[in-house]
Amino acid sequence: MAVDQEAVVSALGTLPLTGNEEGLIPAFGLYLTRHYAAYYNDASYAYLHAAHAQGDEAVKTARSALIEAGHICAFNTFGGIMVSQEWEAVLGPMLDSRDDWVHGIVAVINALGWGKWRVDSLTANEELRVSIANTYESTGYLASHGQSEVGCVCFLAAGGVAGIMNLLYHGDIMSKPALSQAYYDELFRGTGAFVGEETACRAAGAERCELIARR
Amino acid sequence: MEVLVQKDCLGGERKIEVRLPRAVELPDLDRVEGCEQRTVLHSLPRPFFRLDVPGSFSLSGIIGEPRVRFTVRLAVRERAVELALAACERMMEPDP
Repeated sequence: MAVDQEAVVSALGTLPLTGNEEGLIPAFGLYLTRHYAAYYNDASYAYLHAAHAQGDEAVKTARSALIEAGHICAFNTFGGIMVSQEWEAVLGPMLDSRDDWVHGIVAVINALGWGKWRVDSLTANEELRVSIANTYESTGYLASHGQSEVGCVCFLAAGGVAGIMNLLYHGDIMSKPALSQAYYDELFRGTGAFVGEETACRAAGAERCELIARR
Repeated sequence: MEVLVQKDCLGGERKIEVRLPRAVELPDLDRVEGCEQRTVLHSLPRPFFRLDVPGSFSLSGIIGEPRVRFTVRLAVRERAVELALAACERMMEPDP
């Protein structure tokens, strides 16, 4: 059974995602936040621009750190979602294969307000290509800084696509492992991990942001 | 009952998963004390429920499955397992 993207987005919209008296939104076994995208963008791009003023080595460090934030987000958020009861309730009957899980988590991402993701191609255990019509990162960059003179800027998305592949094809999120620091290190810091790269970015003039994850 | 305490993404130990001796049925939810918000989504492919007990925990699961998850409030985190098990025992009590 193929993943019905529209049905998933619609179903997730019915889940009770409201805050409690402690100011937290417990859902998917996580704590969600309703975050101002511009706040995160401002911090990210202030760091990126400061690095550019410092030189190539600083730029390399900054880009790597911002993508690493995407890895950590993907591991905890996407990983947490994929072992949750909400995932089972909404997507369980649609998931026959490991590839279905990739399409499933992309459907969930599309319900979270990060932009409209589309899987352009998936080669199991080798490569994932995603394009995004409206990443909050490129949208925010264009609004605050205009067209990018520092290249692609969708760092969280780049870490995210790598995270999806690492959770599913480098690790085995389908077996519901504990999302521990040791497991994170195994998936993202060991040999053979998938790495995300943004090859085209709206902020730098492309029509869509294009991302690839491969080993 | 099998109990699994998991680290949550804020580094605490407030996420308690319990495997009940049988699958959850709708009337079991009526026995959760202090519940002020109850959501049962029959429209989903599998009927998901979430109960919220202010000051104590939220409880979620799928009707027809034995695994439930408690997310215990920060204020009572020291009693997380105790609160979860007490609620599970109430849920599993037979109707009088």
